Amino acid sequence: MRLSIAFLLAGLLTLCCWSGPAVSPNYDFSNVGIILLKPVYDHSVMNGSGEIIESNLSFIFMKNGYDVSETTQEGTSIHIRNGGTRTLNLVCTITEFTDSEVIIVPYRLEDRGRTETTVTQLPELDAIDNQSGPTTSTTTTTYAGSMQESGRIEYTRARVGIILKMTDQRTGRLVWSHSYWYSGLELHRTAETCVRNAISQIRKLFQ
Amino acid sequence: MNHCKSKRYMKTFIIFIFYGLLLAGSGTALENAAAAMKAGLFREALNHVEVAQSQDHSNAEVYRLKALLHEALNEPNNAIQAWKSCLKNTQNDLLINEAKVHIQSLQGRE
Repeated sequence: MRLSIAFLLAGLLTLCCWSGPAVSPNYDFSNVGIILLKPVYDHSVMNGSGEIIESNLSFIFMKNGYDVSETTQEGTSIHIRNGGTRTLNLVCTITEFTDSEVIIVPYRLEDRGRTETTVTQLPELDAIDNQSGPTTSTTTTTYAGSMQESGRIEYTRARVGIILKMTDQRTGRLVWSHSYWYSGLELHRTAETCVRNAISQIRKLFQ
Repeated sequence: MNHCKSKRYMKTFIIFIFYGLLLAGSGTALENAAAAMKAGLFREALNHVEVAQSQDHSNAEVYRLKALLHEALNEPNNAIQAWKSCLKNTQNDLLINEAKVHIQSLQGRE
């Protein structure tokens, strides 16, 4: 009984926390020979965003050792060297594309306090006359500091999000899907990292 | 010594010594960092952020900024450390999620 409850809880926890891709369990990816990357449409906030993501997809596929051909009218074809005959259509939708998300950093102004030391020195003639007294006197005063929350700065960052879907060209069956996002200070690097993370998951299907 | 003997009146030397910095919080450093970032000087900004971080160890937003700067400077190991510090110092779910996404991505790149 306890074992069953433990399994049930583990299953629920896995379902709640799992953020991996959705994969069709019965599809045989070893039969795939070509991935056809469909044209990527612009995000509504930025013209040219589709071209940026599409170029990054081609670039990262190529960087990972795949043969990439941009001669087809339908899109870019990525050839997988495993002798498969099936073709998968890869559709990429841009869900987020911004280089001006404002981030606010609050900070505390900290007064650490201070110590003030006053040294008074008598001239030598007076010191000779007053043999018993010291020639210098020192007074030290310490002021406590204080802590207060009072300021903030702003900076902007880029954020890119995509959803990838792969469907079997012949049957139209959805076989793989996943969403990704990434943030950074520079748009082009953020887009590249987002796409790289996506393709690293696709590569696992064909290894 | 002769210079002191020539004077007949009492001479008082008052020396004020201030220990520590007065009103020198993380704010100034962060403002400098923000200005440097606007100019695209990420290394300069990172130096200021490190000063701010030394004055405010528990500010997760400062760690996030530091991590993003390390990533922009292509220093993945330092970025991972900064994201981990960010995770330790925040309860914000969005920030926790972002830190995890970045750590996963950066560890995969190593």
